[in-house]
Amino acid sequence: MIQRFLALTKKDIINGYRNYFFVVTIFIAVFFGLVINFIVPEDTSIKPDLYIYNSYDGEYVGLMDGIIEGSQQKHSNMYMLKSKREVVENMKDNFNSIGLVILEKSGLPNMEFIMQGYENEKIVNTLILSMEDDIKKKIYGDINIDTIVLKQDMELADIPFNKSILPMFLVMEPVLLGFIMILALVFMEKDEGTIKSYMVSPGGVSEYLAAKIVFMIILGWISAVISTLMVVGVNADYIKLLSIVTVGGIFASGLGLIVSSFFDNLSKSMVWIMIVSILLSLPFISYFVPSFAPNYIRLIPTYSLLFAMKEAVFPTGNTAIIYNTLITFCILAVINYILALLVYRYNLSKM
Amino acid sequence: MKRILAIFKRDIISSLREFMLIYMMVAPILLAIGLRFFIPSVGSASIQFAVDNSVDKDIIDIFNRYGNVERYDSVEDVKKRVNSIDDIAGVIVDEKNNFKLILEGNESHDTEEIPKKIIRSIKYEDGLNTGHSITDIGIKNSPIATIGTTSLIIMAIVMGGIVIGLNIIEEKESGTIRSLIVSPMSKIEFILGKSVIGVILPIIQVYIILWILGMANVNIYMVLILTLISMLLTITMGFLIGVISGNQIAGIANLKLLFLIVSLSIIGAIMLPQSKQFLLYWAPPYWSFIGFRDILLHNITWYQLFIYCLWILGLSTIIFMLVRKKINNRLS
Repeated sequence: MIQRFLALTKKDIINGYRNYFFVVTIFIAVFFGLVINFIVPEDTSIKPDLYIYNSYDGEYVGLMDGIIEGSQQKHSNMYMLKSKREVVENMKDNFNSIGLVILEKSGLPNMEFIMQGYENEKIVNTLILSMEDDIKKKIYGDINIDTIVLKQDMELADIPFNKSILPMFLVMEPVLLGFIMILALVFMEKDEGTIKSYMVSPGGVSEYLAAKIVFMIILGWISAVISTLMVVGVNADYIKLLSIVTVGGIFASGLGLIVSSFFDNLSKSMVWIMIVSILLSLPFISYFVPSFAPNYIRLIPTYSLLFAMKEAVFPTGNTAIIYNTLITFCILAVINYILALLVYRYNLSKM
Repeated sequence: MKRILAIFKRDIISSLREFMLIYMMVAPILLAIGLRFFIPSVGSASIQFAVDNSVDKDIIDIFNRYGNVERYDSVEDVKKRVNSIDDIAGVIVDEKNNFKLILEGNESHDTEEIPKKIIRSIKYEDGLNTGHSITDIGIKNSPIATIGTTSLIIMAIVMGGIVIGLNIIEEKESGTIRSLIVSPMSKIEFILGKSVIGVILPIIQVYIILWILGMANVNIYMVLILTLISMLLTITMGFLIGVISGNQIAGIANLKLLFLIVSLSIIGAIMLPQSKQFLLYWAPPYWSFIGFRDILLHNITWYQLFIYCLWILGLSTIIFMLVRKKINNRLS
């Protein structure tokens, strides 16, 4: 059985090699590494830009100027402009921006917050709160708020924006790669009739599917190691990273095998490949906006996978997230594999 | 012309027979419906607070003005919630009636700072009374809606190319392509016939997507022109992938590269600052993306559209010239 499994794995590796799977995987990982290191800026932010026009020169001019200067030092995406018209024009060109016009009214500063129009009420309230807080802090001084930090031993370091994209790539490429590639492998063998020939041999479906999954994991490892080495060097926890890639790869490949058993060829399954891929990519939004995590996103397996990947690549000491994800994905991987076996056996019996 | 239509008819019949056409039609529409439900949920995203029941209702109402409040029975439950993967700030009141903030330690700046500002606003006495007003410039679609719709449109266009590519691979595998080549049909007729389905399908899909997502009030002629021009590249790429891929497995490997270029163009257009966008000028999908985005934002003139189309046309022509020989040779 082991020999048959090894022979099948070897066959899949040779097949993949002949069809440039290794070349494409390595090329994409190297290309990603180069883009991250040399093209994507370190200090990009998804926070809205703020365009300000300040014409206030009343009694509290020093206070207002101090607040704006202080904010400018903290946030690089604040721009001083010369008129309200300029503020509006810039906002029209940049839909991820807001405007602030400060005028004088009865000697006091009067602020007009110019929004795009799509922002929800809570965001607008928060904006006003922030401005008022800055003003009151200047007048009355800061009030210390007692804060309990639950994980004080976490080693937090600021992750540059470009490098923060790496966990997303690792979920998309080394892990989800198996989902699409395995479909292609299976359909090719369906076309060539290899599956039919294999079914009349003493080999079992379990070895046949396991060999394909192993090949996908090997590809995943290559992609993960190359891209991670290029982006963070040796600072990542590679053992944990490869463990996550392995369980994630089994899960994704299993999913691919299940999908492949319902279709005859790649064209027919393409639509479902896209729908499943987009669904699995939804948690990427929560990765960039961590407070956005509705239940339906938290239920998508790639949600925890993404954050576990982040912990493996940028270790902070929060290993619980990695172990919990590994356990969850081990269970999911086993379920997917068993499902794939059952569906495959059922469909092959009808061939 | 007759032969071109015959190929088109053949593609349609074989696609309908295998429900392929229905799948291809339905996929972007399903995704558009999904996006339609997803957009409001992202639009209402805000800071999250976990509070225990010792916090007064009035205070909870204040927190509710700035974010979503989840209530828990005990401080331990609040801590458990704060320890979960997403960002949420815990707020409790101790026996001396002092507010305490509970954080995991890895929250974003806003999740850490906003609750402090809210608590301070409760504690500060009214002082300098600065007036404020709120206006807007009338943009009703959130960036998620605009970017999501634009990406879906690009996807529909790319799908047109994929259909062509995969059809060619399947015809090569089944041997029909050889029979067609020895028939009186010319290569140009074959190429045009094969392209029809990849042209008609995306055009219909683009308008359905706009309608489902409530963005049909755009300039439909601009949409049509940009869709047609954008398809030049995807059709060329579809043919290239079709002819260079010996089988479906190689086709997928090659498609991955096409997806890489398309995704990088979209992500780059969203993420890169204006000063670095020139790094993407080489990629036709970049021009398509910013073109559709600006059309959806009602922020584009005919002249600007002309410039974008010129870029796509120029780049697609260069790519076509580079791969023409290969397509020609492989089809022989």
